Amino acid sequence: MRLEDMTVTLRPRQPWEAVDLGCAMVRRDFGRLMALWASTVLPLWIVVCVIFRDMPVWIPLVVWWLKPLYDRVPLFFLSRAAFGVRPGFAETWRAWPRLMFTNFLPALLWRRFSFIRSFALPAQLLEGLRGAAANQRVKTLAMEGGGSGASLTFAFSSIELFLWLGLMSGTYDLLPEAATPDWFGIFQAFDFENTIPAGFLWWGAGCHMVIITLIEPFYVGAGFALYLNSRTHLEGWDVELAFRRMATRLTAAAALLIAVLFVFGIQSPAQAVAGDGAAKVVREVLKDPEFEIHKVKTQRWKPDFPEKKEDDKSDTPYLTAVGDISQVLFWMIVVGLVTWLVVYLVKNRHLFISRGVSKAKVQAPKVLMGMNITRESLPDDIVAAARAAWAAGDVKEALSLLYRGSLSWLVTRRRVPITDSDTEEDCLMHVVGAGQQVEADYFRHLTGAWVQVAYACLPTSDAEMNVLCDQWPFVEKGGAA
Amino acid sequence: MLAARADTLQSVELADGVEIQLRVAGPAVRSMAYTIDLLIRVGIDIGSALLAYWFLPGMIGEEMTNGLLLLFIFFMEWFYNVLFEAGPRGATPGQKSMGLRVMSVTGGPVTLAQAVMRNFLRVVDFMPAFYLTGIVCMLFTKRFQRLGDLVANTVVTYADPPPAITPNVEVRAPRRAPPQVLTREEQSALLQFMERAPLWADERRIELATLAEPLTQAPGMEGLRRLCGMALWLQEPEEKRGTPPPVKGAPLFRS
Amino acid sequence: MTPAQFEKHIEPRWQKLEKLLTDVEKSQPAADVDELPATFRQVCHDLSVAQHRMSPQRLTQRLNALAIRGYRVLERRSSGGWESFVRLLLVEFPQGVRAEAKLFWWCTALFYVPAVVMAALTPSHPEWAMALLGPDGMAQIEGMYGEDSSPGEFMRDKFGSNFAMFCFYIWNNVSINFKTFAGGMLGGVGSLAALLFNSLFLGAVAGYVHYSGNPPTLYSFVAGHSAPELTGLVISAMAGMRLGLSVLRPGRLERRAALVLAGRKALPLLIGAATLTCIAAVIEGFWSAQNFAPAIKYTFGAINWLLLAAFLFFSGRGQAHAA
Repeated sequence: MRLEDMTVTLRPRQPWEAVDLGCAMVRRDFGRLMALWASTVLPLWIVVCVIFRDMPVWIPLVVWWLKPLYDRVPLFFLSRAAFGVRPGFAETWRAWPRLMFTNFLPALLWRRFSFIRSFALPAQLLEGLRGAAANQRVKTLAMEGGGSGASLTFAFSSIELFLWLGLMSGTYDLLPEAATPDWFGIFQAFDFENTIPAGFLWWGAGCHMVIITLIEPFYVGAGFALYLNSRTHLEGWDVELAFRRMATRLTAAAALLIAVLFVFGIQSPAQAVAGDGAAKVVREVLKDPEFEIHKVKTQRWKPDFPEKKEDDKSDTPYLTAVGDISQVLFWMIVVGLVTWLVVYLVKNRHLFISRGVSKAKVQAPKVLMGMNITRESLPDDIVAAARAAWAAGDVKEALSLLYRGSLSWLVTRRRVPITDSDTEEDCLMHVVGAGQQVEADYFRHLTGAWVQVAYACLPTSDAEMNVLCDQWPFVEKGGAA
Repeated sequence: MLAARADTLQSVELADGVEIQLRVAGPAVRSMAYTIDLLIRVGIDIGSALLAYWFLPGMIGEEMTNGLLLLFIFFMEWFYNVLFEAGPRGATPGQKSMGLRVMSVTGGPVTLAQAVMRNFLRVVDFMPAFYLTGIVCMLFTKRFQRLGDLVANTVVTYADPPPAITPNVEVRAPRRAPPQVLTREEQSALLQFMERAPLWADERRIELATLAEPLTQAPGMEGLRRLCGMALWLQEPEEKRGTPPPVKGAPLFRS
Repeated sequence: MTPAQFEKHIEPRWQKLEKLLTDVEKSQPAADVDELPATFRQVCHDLSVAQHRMSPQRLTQRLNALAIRGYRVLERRSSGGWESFVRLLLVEFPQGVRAEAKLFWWCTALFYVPAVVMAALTPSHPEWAMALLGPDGMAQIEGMYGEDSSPGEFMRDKFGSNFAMFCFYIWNNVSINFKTFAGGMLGGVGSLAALLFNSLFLGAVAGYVHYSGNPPTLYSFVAGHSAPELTGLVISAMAGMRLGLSVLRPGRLERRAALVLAGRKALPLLIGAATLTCIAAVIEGFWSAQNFAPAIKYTFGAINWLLLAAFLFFSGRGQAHAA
């Protein structure tokens, strides 16, 4: 873990902006988070489902109640990912028992209904405080951002509820007949036992789990970011980290434990002042041989469910030949559909895998109107080269450099659909059609000048050439011209 | 630097080459704004229905009233957001109350065409129900855009600048050059420290200054003094001539 | 220049900009409003300097907000009001349809072919139409266009009911247009589904009336508004397909850019389609239910088709294409 590898920008923010930062952090690592989630939360859910297999009504409630347990793994991951260390399976699993059982009873009992659950969790879990000290600490932090923590909880629980309903109503039509409840009967007789089939309840519970899987990491991330923001406001944590980074650079120290970073030094002011600052403490801590750079090992997790043995012979003795044939037909259709779907997905994979593939497909023209417009054929600094040619009196060469350079940029970067049979006028129309106002204006100007020089042999004025060079828009943002 | 740091600011280069930063807003705050708008809209619909049925049927007949109400509801459903967002404020009442505003990705105001596009496509974002598609799309795009935003090329941003949190305080410390060459980031940290130090307790200031001991070579109060001196030096390397400016605000050091 | 001096030095500029912007936003421009662009550029310059010098956040954030505000004011275009709307309808809309003629004909075929097939099959195989219409639909059709009905029966006798029906058609049909368009975002699937469903339903109604009703009642009722209404639906589906195709085949553009471009192209189509549907609602509300001889109604319908075709083919030709 090196402090230079911080992957989050800390700065005092407005509360809702901090929430958005949390969402951005989660989005960046959503894949890994999902993998960890699947390996730690799914087993728990399977246990819950097995226990409540006869009463599926209760599953959503229990799954909802146990939420504080799920929060810990994403938080563990995010708190480390913020410093550029993304824990793998082995590390997470090693930490898992500790994560689960820290403050586990209060979290499930009287803290379950805390409005600042995700905001308070980092203080309880990462700072290593317990009991009254932890409560005091949460109270202090909540002075800045506590209210936002509550609005955050409100916003995310409503989002979760409505997405759950949305997913259920979206997939309702896919339910088999046997699993759809008799809505009419429910309102007629208020007889929930017999009118709501178990299949419906299981399906509802499943949708609930899907939505929790999707939303809960974002909720945790948002709470974490709000916590970081609160510390930034109250304690200048961003400055503290920057100073620590500077100290490590100047003293050539190597590594620091994340757990140390989250600990808040000034908890007991006497110790902070008497202890001659945290830097010394840290330096002493660092001498300990335990604190070496951790290696991150990624192991692939293979699902290892026992295979179900299906005993399908018992209920098939009455199947006639017709039934057999129709079954064969049915499976053929299913296999055919699946094959088609797979082929379709593979063929259109550019729809799902963004950019990478579609980029490879582009075949930009290399030669336009008899001019080579590949990037390799052009000098590195086109404008400078053009100015040089201009100074040497080679008007045509100067303008051709600019023109080729701009075409090269437009075709490769902006992917303007120019083909090798297009004329200057066609190119201009395509560029205008691509919708980049500034570049289109410039390109129109340039095309005019180029056409005059190339075909009419009318010279360009010094002033115009200067303008063309000065306004050159085809550069990487932030790069030098 | 290994990876880009996560941030919610989006840098946009304006047509004249100036870089501004848009503070894009995410799904949580936007769903709150949407809820407020929904309540307002439903309230207006119900209110106007009550009002219309109270006195219109006597004047123009029941059928006409039904028709007018249908037209009104149609209008509210499709054009409530469009009109507010394309207006001078660029925000619906709900968005305004949450401090939000719709903008073009290029940093300019939203045109009528863009407003129409992003709001008519709400239908897809709503699918299959309750904005499932829209919220998922927002969570997984860099600028928190739903499908309608993607097509219309718009973003929702925070409208007001954040309130200034730091008082303007004159720091009194002897100016001194840092003994080592500092990176840009470290310079920025020093300046940040000096800017925000008035917000923290004395102990915290000293503690932070002590963290920078490798630079200041002095612990405690002396370290703090030196650190502030270096920050002042970063602000203006050469001594000012003439009389020192009058002291404004509270002094940083209590002695 | 020291930071404090810098701050003091630029303060009058941004205060001036702030004042100018406030004036303009209240639409009471002061006399010195001409200086707004120059002041804006100066403040933008100050912003870059402040960012480079790592000035205090309160300064950079304020300047950033001011720059955004100024850019909003400077970039605001007057939308041109009614003139640009009329141009959109009369020029850009038919031009847009012609520019995508292939897509238009595909959508037209996808709409009319299934309808005709359905209508032709129903008299001999009514069960499909029956399944599509459902018992309620069948009862309704028999009530309206049943064997004992006659073309003149549609007079709405209650005062204002024509107007009420007009409003209902606007509310219902234009919403369907918008939804058909939006469905195109899903790779065109939504628009196609809406197009096919409406097509089959239309065919089923026509076929069912042939099977167990009095066709002239139906045809004389729908003749007048058929042209704008059906074309409106086809074109809104076409606008949706424009979006969907840009998702499926962005060509050489990035998918996001292709989507934005397609959105710009689809907008005139959508607005035109909605306008056609509104015209259809006017006709359907105030004309179609009048007690005229069927021959007059058929003639009126035919004229509408001709007018519409002429409009789509000729309107806006020779005008410059919208950039």
